[in-house]
This record gives sequence, structure tokens and C-alpha cells, in this order.
Amino acid sequence: MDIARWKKIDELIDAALEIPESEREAFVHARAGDDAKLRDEVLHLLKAQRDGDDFLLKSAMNVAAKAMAADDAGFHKFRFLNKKIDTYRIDRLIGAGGMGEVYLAFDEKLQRKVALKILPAEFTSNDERVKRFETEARVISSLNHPNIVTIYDVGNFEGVNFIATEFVEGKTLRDLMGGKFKVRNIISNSIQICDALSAAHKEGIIHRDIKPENIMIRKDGYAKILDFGLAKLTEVAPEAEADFAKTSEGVLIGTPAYMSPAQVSDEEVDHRTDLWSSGVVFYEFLTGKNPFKGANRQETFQAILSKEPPPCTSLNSDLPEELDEILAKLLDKDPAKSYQSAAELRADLKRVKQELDSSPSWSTGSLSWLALRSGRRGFRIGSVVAIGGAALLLFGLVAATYYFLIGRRDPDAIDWSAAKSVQLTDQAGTEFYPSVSPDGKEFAYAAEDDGDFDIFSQRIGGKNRTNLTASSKSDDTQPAFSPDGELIAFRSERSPQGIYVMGASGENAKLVSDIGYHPSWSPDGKEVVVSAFGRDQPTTRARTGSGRLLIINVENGSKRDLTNIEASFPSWSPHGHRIAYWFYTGTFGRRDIATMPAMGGEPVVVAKDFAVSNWNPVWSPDGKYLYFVSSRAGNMNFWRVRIDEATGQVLSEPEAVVTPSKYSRHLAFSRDGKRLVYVQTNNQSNIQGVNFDAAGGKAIGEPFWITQGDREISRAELSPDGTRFVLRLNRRTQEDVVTVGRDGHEWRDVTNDEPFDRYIRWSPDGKQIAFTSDRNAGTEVWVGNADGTNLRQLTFKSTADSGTGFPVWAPTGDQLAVYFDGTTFLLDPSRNENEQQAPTLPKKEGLRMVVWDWSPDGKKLAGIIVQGEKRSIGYFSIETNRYEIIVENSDALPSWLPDSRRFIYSAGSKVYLVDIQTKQVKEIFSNPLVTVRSPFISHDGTLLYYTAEKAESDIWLLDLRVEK
Amino acid sequence: MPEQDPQELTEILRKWSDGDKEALEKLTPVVYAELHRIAKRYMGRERKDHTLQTTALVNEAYVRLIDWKNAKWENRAHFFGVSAQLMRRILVDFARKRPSKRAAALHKVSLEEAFAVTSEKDADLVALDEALTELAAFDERKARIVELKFFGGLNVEETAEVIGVSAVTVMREWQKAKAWLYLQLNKT
Repeated sequence: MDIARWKKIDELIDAALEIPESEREAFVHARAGDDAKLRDEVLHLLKAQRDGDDFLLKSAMNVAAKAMAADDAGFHKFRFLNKKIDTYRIDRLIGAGGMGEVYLAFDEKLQRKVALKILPAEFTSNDERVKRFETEARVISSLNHPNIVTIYDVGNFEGVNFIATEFVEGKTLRDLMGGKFKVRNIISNSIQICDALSAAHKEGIIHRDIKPENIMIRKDGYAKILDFGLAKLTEVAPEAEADFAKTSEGVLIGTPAYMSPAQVSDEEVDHRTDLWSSGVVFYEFLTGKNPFKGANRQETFQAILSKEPPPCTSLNSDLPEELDEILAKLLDKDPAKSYQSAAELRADLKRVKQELDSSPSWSTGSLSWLALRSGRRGFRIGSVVAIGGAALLLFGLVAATYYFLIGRRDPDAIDWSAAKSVQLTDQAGTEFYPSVSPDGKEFAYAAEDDGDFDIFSQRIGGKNRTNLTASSKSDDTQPAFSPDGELIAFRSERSPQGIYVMGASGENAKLVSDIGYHPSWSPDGKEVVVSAFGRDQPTTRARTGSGRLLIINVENGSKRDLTNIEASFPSWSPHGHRIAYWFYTGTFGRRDIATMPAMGGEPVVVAKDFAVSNWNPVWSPDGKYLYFVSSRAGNMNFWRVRIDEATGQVLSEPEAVVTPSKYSRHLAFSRDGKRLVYVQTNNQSNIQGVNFDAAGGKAIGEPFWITQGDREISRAELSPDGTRFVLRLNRRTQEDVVTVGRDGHEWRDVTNDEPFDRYIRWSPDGKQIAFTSDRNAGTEVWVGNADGTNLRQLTFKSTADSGTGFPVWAPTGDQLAVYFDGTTFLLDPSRNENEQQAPTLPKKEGLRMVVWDWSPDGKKLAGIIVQGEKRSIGYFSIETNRYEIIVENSDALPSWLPDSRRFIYSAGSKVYLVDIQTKQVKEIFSNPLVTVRSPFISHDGTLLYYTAEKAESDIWLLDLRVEK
Repeated sequence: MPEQDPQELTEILRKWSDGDKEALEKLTPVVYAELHRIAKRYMGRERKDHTLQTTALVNEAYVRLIDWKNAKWENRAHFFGVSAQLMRRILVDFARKRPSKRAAALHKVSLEEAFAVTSEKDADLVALDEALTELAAFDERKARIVELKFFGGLNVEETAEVIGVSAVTVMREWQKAKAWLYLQLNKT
């Protein structure tokens, strides 16, 4: 580096640091002028200052000592590194303690990172214990809460007992002790901890070992409790403990300091022991001092039983006095006088937080990292609580959280954690799109009935449902009660398709618009806003530019465009000011939400998260909150932000609204805001097989599972040598190409990245795969080696409104048929786009064919033939140069048998076989327990494979009208 | 390992700054003893509770090694500089000599974070040493600040005293130096 040059860089960094962070980039651009290199270097260094926040925090001596400890401890502690335990590949050790070692591992089956705890040998030597442990751990693993680290799996592999849990990146409260942070953040996290305890206690599960080591704060400031319920399961046997205590007097102090008086006295403990322990943690975090810890175990126990800890404000005068009262009650030796439930504690903490939020002396200032890190004593901005002199680790948290915190908290905010949770529908299959009548007494929803979706109404609290659209043989979904409760708007696929409005008991359905999905009423009941594109899930294939919003006058059917920007699933605000919607951000698989004025105008983005999907926004009935579905806590659940309905300005950080479900969506409120109705979804699809008699054309015997478990796979296809399936694995926010052995073992990723990869097909020699992907803007066909190397984009055809069709290999492997915009092109998979001759299948007036499968004899391409509104299964014959329709009024994708004379397809839970010469359709297989999708016959004709889908969505209620 | 007399250590340091190469050999075992003392705490079964205690222990170790308050040293700033250099030499040598590749992989693991799942990693002392030498070639002041603070264990005020600038300047320079080093060490 040239010294003069460096000086220039250095000075520019200094200048940039003088101005607010949001303006820095523009500033550097301006100051650097034409000197792009200077600009880049400065921006890189500024970024490195942020990223390298923790860098060199410890002294070299500390680093070296730790390294020495690792070396000494190393060889026996790290024996699992790089080994495989069951389906888990162990990557690195992330912690160790009395309960064994914790590793970062990769679950090769489910293709995700996990934290893998390996239990110590002294524990696993007792069979009875291990058994009990496994049973109880399974109960605990049913706990599903965003503030509790989820247990995925418990098992034993070659004598090693392990627990696989969600992997959380962040720091424990222990790591963070001694940092500086805002009281409000501590309270926020404590409220989250109460939420988690509340959910667990409801299930009768007690943690028993709440301590700073067991609470993690994620990088975004979110708290997660570790090791729920495991304390009891893994406690060391009494004899062993006695030995331990004898040999190392006084060394066990860490945990005893958080024990409740009941635990210390060896009395039976109940859920209140967790409240006590969290009180100790809370006290320690606020004051920097554990209230009971003594020089040895005896002293500590004595203090727990008899010592009255000093008020926390006497140790830290910056704390609000209300906390003294809360902590005194929390740490009352008499459980009867203490808090009785986590919800009760939460309510008190919430009150303090609201006061903090509204008091100007506690308002937030911008926290300069330089100032925070300066280490000068007494240096405070706003009300930073300074504790100890150690590393300042919480900075990232403070910055992340405070970026959002703009206004005061609403003291009337609804607390859903106090609501009663009730399941409203329990039919097998999918019930979704609930809408609640304004009086909150009934709800309408869509559910499958007799082969199509209809709209039902049902009383909340009742079990009988009324089919409001029984006469329609097409799908009717997305009902929305009008504001006066008299009408229901809905989407129908009947002819003509569009938005209909009917009376609330199903009478007089009439078409109001031939376009639109997801109607949402204006508050005056005169109009509905709809999206032009019916995108239901964040994973719905991205097609930019097609999701505009329209406003339809319900009386006369007149339409006006609200916006032409990308937008789906609108929600009209209760006072009519704004319309919320979700949109495709341009990043693969990511969705975000925004609002815009109902009269049209500039949108305001609500969340701007880059790593998660936010979608399905719904206004609270008072217009003060926007609720939405988000994957931000690792599952799909509800969140809300406080929002200004008039301007769309976001007034708070996103806050979790907890439901007992891994995947929640479609929420709706009663007018008084006290009933929240929503959908819990648990869809699974796996590969099944059944023996097949090719000559007789029928399935034999019972179907068997190839893969099983909580996953969603689509369109499996067997490799030409019959050894592996290739399939699309639908992960939460991405869809990837994965292969798995014929026996359902040995999962391998071909792709594992954010783009959506779909419709994967083996080349006839099994060496290559072709699939569609949006990995380079637009949905296009890609080809590559079967292991995912050498991926190459083959088509460059998709436009805003139409993606490229499916890739279909010729049996010779030298051609790939791809449908695009009315024409099927025959591409050479070995050539690049600009070298293609690209002959096409002949065109026929009024007919299009979407090709799906090329017959093994190479003479016919089967697919779906579209003529106007009509869809049929058929094929194109290369010999006769003609299109032949075989099965009318079906749009199932056909798959050829090895004889090239027959093909199969599925509908519902059945598989049909058809002979193209006789055109006779015959049912050959049925599995009423599942929906059968994409069936095909193995190359040797002996097995029928398909994906078996179990879609389960039920409607649930969170009810605040009744006391819990 | 018997406790070393501070007076004696000071003498070793003085000699080293005068060019006595043997001083390094004499001091190395003393530093190693301190490292062992701290490492033992990391490995102890009570480790979960001891983040703060180990930090204190490290501070104590520095004080024991470089007891400037009691040292009758005419030039404190010079003394700090010498001791930081020496610590750098010894600690980097230690890191360089660590047992095996496998251990090198382990060194990213921090035992202190018992039960915790964290993404924090410690700096690679050898790589850092090289980067620091590079930095010194065009910005000696920043390199010295890192040496004093990170290797020498000095706080901001002490560093400021040695360099002869304000604490605010040290903080700013430290942050910028860290950013540059961070980039160097994270280059792939």
C-alpha cells in the first residue's frame, strides 16, 4: 500500500464517520468522485468496521490461553469431529459442558443445520434412563414456540445418545453479561422468555434449569430458550453427584445460584421454579450481580433460603423503580406470594416497558458505536446501562432493535398470549381462507367437498357447517365477509371465472369481475380490492409484473387499476386509508410487505428483511397494527408491527404473535379485534411405490413408503439405471434439486441455494439433469451434471408474463423439448442458446400443447393439449405429424409406460391408465389416504411410483372474549 | 512454576530492549506459565461461570508480567512498547508451534462458550502477526496501537500515553486498524 494513497483513504473514512451512517455511502461516492478504487476501498473498510465488530475483542493472551486449553482438552473432546452420527455430519464443536458436547452438524436427510448434543457416557450407560429420556424428550419436542429452541430428533446411534435441535446463531446471556445494553431491551427479551415459559407450562413442561447459559439472544435480538425440560432428564445420578461434590468442593456454584428455594430444599417443584430462576437471571442481568451467589455451595443455598436481595435500583440507579417491586415479588421465598404464572409476570413487565417507551427520558438516541466502545467511564447516550468493564457484545442487538423503534408503544395493544386457543375445523384435508363475520359469531372458509372446493359457513363454537356453494362444481375459495356482514365476496373457478358476490347464506351469487383473486372490502362496503394474480404462498413461482391490484365496484362491476406494480393478496385498512399487500422482492424466494394509499400513490415498505419472507398482511380492526406471516423466527408464524394507517409509517419493531403451529397463515379478525381466526398447515409429501403388473396393466398389493417424515417433495423421477430418485425438495424458503437412493436413504443435494428449482428430469444416460430455475432472472431451463456441477442456462425466453415450460428429454438424449408461449422448441442440450437451430413442433390453429413426456420409442410426445378453455391429455405423433386427444377435460400430466402405447396419470387419490389405441381409461390404483401426484412406471415396468401428499390445514381461533 | 520476581522481569525486559536475545528465552517460560494458569481455568468443570473470572485472570497475568507501576522505569512509554513487542513474539511463536493441523482446526473452537451455540471465532494469531507487519509498512501508528492493545494488553488510556495522543484518537485508529486487519484476515 502506498502511504500517500492510504492517507487519502484514512482521511475519507474519518470524514465519513462524522456523518450519519445512512448517508455515508452517498457521501463517500460524492467525495471519491471518479476514483472508483478509492470509493470501493473506503466502503469496504467501513463495512469491515461493522462486520468485524467482535474482532480482537479479547487480548492475545486470552486467545492463546484458550488455544492452549483446546489443545489440552482436545483429543478426547473432539472425537466426533467430521464423523457421521446417523444422518448428521458433524462439522464443528460449538460447546461442551456437563451434559456432553454440542456440535454444529448438518442433517443430510433433511438438509439443514442442526445443533447436535451428544450425551455423556455416564448418562448413556443406564438403559432404563436412556429409554425414559427418549420418551420424555419426544414429549418435549412437541413444544413449538418461536422463543424455544426446537428439538428435532432424539436418538441412539451405535451406542451414542444424541439430541438434534434447531441451530441458533447468537450469544447466550452468559456471553452477554457484562456488556452494555438498554433496560428496555432486557425487558423485551424477558417478555419473550415469559411467552416461552407460558407456552411450555401450559403443556405441563417445566424447564428446571433456567440460567444465563440456557438463554440465547439471536443476532437480531430475539431470545430463545435452550434445553427445555432436559435438566431433569439428564441430571447426574445422586451417587455420582455426591462423589463429584466430594472431589471438587465448591466448583458447582454456577447452577445452584439459579435454583429456587423449593429446589434447594429438595421439595417437589412446579412451574414456579422457572419463574424464580428467570427472576435471578433478570436481576443479574440488570445489576451485573447474582443476588444469591456465595463463595461456595453452602453459602449460596443459605442465601437462596434466607437472604433478601437488595433492591436492584440500589445497585444500578438507572433502573426504573417498578422493577424493584417486580423482582421482589418474583424472588419472594413464599411461592404463594410470588407470581403464579409467566403470563402474570409478563403483564407487569409489559407495563414497565410501555412506561419506558412513552417516557421521554428513556427515548432512544442514535447509538454511535464509537461512543459505545470508547470505554470511557460515565459516558452515556440516552440511558445506556453500564455494567462491568468487559466486552461490549450487545452492540449489534441494540443497533438492530433500535433501528425499528421510532414511536411510543400502544398501551391498549392486544396480548394474544392470554387468548384461549380453539380448533374450529378438524376435517381431513385442507380448510383455509377463513373470514370472520363482523359480529365475530361465525366464520366462512373454503374446504374441499365432493372433489372441489366450496365455501362453508360455521358458527364459532359450533360443529355443523353449511355449504354455501354446493351447486358449483368448480372451486370456490377466498371468501370475505362484507363490512356489514350481509355479503360474501369470493373467487370462483366456475365459468366465467372471477370474483363473485353472494348473500351471507349463499344466495344470489353474481359475477362482479372476470379478473381477480383475494378480495378485500372497502370499509364502506361498496368496493373490493383484488390482485390480478392468485399467488397463495410465498413459494408460488415468481412472475414479476403480473400481480397488479384492481379496485372493483361491487354494484356495477366497474374496475379501476390501483397499481401496476408487483402486488398480491391485498388487505384494505379499516378506515379506508391504505391497502397492504405483499410482493416479490426480486431476491429468490423472498417476499416482503408494503402499503399504499387506497387512492393510489407511493408504496411504503413495511419490513425490509432480506433473509426472510413476509407475506399475507392483514390490518387489525382498529387500524393500529399490521399483522403478517413471516419466516423470521425460523417457522411461518404471525408477527405484527404498529403502523400509522394514514401514512403507512411503521412505528414499532416486528413483534411475534404466537400460535401453536409450525406453519400459520390466512388470519382474519372479528370487528372487536378479540377473535383471531387463522389456518394451521401441516403438509407432507413423500415417495410411495407399489408393485405393478405391466402386462395386465394393474397395481398389485399394498403401497409402501420409500421416504417418510416431515418433508415436502415433488415430482420424483427414477434414474435410468434405477438406483436413485431425483426430486424437488420444498424447503421453507427455497426449492432445491435433491437425489435419494431407491430405498429412501442417502440423500444428496444437487442444488442448495435460494433460487426455486423445479421439474427436474434425468437425461436418458443418467449423467445429466435438466430443470427449470429462476437462478438468473426469469424461469428458464437449465442443464447440468447430475451432481449439480456445470450448470448452464439453456433457454433465455421467459418474459414478465410467461415462463419457460418443462424440459422433456428425447430418449436419444440429443434433444430437449421445451414449450414456450404456444410453441414447443426442440433444443440441443449440448449447445448454447445462440447456437441452437431450435426446430419446433408443427403449429396448429387454435391448439397448444404443453409437452411433458417423450415416449420411450421416441415417436410421441405426450402432454396437455389446450384448445381455448378446454384442456385434454394427448400427444403429438412424430410419424403422422398429428396431435391426438386421448382424455378430454383433464389437465393431469401423462407418463408413458415402457411400451410407448399406454400412459398413466393421476387425479385425486387414484391412478388411471389409458391405451392410446382404444382410448379406454382404466383405474389401476387408489390410495384413499393420500393425494397421489406425478405417478410413473419404472423402466423395467415392475413398479409404480408416485408422491403421496397429505395436505392438512385446519382453522383455529385465538379467543380473547372468554377468560382463560 | 515459582513466581517470578517483578523486579527481575523488569530487568529481563530492559535487557531485551537493549538487544539481549537471551531475554526472550528467559521470558517465554514465564509467559507460558501464565497461559497454563488461565487455560486451566478454561478447562475447569466450573467453566460455565467464569467468563468474567478468566478476563480478570488475563488482566492479572499481564500485570504480573509487566508490572509497570512498581517498576522503577525512567521511560514508561518505552517500557510498554518493549513489553508489547515481546508478548507478540512469544504468543505468535506459541501459536505457530501448536501441535498439529487437527489442533489448528480445534483452535477455532472456544471452550468458554460452554453450552452456547455461537458464531464467535478467535483471531488467528499467526495470520494476524503477518498482517500487522504489513500494516506497519504504511501506517506504523495503527500497527503500534494494535500491538500495544491486543498483544500488550494495554487499555485505551495506557495506549494513548505510550503513543502520545488522545484516547479518542487511539480509539478511532484502533477501529480503523481493526477494519483493515479484519479484511486481510477474511480474504479468501
